[in-house]
Amino acid sequence: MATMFPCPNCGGQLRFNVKSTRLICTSCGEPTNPYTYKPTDDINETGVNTKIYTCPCCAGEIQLIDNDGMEFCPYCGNQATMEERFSTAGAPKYIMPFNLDKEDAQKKYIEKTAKIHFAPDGLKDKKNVEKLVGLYTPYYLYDYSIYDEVEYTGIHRYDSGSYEVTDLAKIKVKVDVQHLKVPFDASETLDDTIASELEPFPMGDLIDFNPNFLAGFFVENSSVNQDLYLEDSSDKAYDYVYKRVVAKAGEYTLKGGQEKDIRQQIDGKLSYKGCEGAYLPLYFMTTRTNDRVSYSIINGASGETYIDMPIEKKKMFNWAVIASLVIFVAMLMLSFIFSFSYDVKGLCAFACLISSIIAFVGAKIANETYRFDNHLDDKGYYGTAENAKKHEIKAKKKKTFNTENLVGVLITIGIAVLIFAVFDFQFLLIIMSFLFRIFSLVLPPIIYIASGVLLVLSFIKIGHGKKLVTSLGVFSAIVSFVIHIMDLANDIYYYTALIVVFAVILISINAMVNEYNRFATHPSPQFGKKGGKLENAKN
Amino acid sequence: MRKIRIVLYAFLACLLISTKAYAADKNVIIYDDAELLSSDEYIQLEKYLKTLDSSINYLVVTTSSHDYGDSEDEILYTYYDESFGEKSDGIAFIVDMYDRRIHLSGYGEIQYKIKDADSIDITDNVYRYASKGDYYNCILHVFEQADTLVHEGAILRPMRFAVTFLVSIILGFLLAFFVAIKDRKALIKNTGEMEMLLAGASFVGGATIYDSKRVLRHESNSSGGFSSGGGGSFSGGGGFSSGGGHSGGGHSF
Repeated sequence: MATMFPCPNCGGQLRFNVKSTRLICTSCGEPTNPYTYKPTDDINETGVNTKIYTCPCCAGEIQLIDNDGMEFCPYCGNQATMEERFSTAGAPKYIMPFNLDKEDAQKKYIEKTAKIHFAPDGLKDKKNVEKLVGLYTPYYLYDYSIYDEVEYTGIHRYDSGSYEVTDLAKIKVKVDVQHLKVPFDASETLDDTIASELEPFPMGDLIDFNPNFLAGFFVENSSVNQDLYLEDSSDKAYDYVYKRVVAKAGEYTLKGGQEKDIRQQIDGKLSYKGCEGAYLPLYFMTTRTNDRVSYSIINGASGETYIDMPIEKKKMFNWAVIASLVIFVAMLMLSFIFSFSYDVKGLCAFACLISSIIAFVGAKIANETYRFDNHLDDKGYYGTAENAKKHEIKAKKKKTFNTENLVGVLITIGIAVLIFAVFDFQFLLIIMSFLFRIFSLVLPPIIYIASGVLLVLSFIKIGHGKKLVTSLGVFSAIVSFVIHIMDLANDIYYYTALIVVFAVILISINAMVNEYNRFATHPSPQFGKKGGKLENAKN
Repeated sequence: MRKIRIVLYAFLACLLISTKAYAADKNVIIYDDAELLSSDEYIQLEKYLKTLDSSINYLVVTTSSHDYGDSEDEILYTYYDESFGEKSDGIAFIVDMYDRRIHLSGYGEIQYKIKDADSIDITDNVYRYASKGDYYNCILHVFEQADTLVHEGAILRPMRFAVTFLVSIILGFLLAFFVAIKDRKALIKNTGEMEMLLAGASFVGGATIYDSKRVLRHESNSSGGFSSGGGGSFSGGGGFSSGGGHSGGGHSF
């Protein structure tokens, strides 16, 4: 088949070269300026007439722009022969050319995954990394404008000599924005959660659509309606303007109640001007693990990455055995140095706490997996705003819990105790003995209460997620507690029961890894297949 | 409150000791109030304790009441203090039939040789004798192992090893899992706000102060910054005096 991008020098095939930002002929090597070059009539600024490849397994569709063909499907990783058909599709208004070439993307991937423990061999395999394909993904840019003057009160406190000065000021901000373009991925295949991990795209690199930048890459057409993200884009634009307005206050902070006032002023002034399409660059790699797939996606413009990385259980368990031996030796030595031993009832509390932590973590992972598998945070999957509303899909709001501060406090306390220890070893022994007594007397009830809270949170958190890990955690937590309150005289009963509990904990850890591996992979997609979608994919 | 209680218990103990004399030797005393030992066992135990270090006091108590304290530790302290004085070096062991617990304590310098953890390990090793009603062997093995520790020897601590082993396995596997998760969290960027394209945009702001208040600051810190005199270190005699206090640990049976 004749090429869509014939070389003006020899008629050979032109490919866009990211490094030189030129079209380079694959035959004679002659560079051509992509801004002045005119391709064949099949492809221009208004439309693209080319082949579409459809995966026979998942029905995913990929548009090939003068490529040699697809060796595997980027959505489901299947190597079945792709079915061809001809397509005529409209062109978007904008395009963001690739800043990273395939080699850069591969380096980025290797750099990101190099230090990851227990990575499956296949994912780091050189042959696999070479499968990265450059894919132009459709995005919608929602256009907003606002012309307004926002007024609010700012407050500034500072010291001046012996006085504390409080200044109140009227702050006026003139807002004049003709085009604020809010991007949302317009692809049904790219999960919204994944898309958010790949941001930001350097929007300053966006240029008017030029088909020459597609030469040699793959393209996915937009498959969702423009109205889908209209509400979300309005919220984002609104927040963006608000933050810019507040930033103009400089050293002034907002006086109480001003936030609502500012938002009211902006509200109603922000006007929607329309929506335009854009192709944004991504590198895509899909790896199959049984019936599920893991995605590795790299932002072709900024280098941001999203990588699904399941845990290789064999590697993890081998590491765990060595870690257990090291911990065993260390704990034994510490028990002699600081003279502490174990009360078997304290061990019940320990087992209960560990079990409830596992139940909670397991619930969290199971819930996230369920949400991901069922696209509950992925509006794009539902195609239209009406459909998304029908399924009660809302934009996901990120929640973060910062444990670093807590860890910092504990480390500080630990260092303080150690400093004392350097000066007075006997003091340290007394401190350790004291802590040990506190541990045996006060800590168990606290641990049981904390475990109870974690178990309740697990039930709340799990939602419709798989309940295996949480059930195992709850079982071993309850058994640990019951053993404690039974008050058996002979330790042998305690130890037998605790060995059973600990075995259940180990099974729970194994189940938790399985659950995480489900979370780090996705059901093989079944786009538009009759009786397909998730219900057709095995878990 | 605790001191008042201890004084009260000590007073009661004085009455008891004055009425029931069990004293055997100046450093060995056995109070078999619960009558757990036969007369032969009593004599053999006494004989054995006399063969041990003569510079250390040995106290054995069996009891079936809590008249002299709420816990085994308190009861034992009351007996020991009345018999030898709490600061003298010694080892005391009690079989409490009321709560069915055994408890071992070290007094004076011995508390640094037989620490809490050692007491727990020793009682862990011997509680099975008490469970079977073999109190003589229970007491005998306690003092054998305590004597070994006092003379820098080593005793078997199977329970400590077993528990450490179990805890280590769980911690090792959990650690491996959390290492895996921590690594993978680093793969996911904490997304900031999305970048947007702003064309023909301007945000021009200006502030006009319309009210300004001046308040005299509190002088919270006087000049000098640190307190005078005294010096920073502890003076002699502060902290923990040698000989006071005791170690201890026990087990139910």
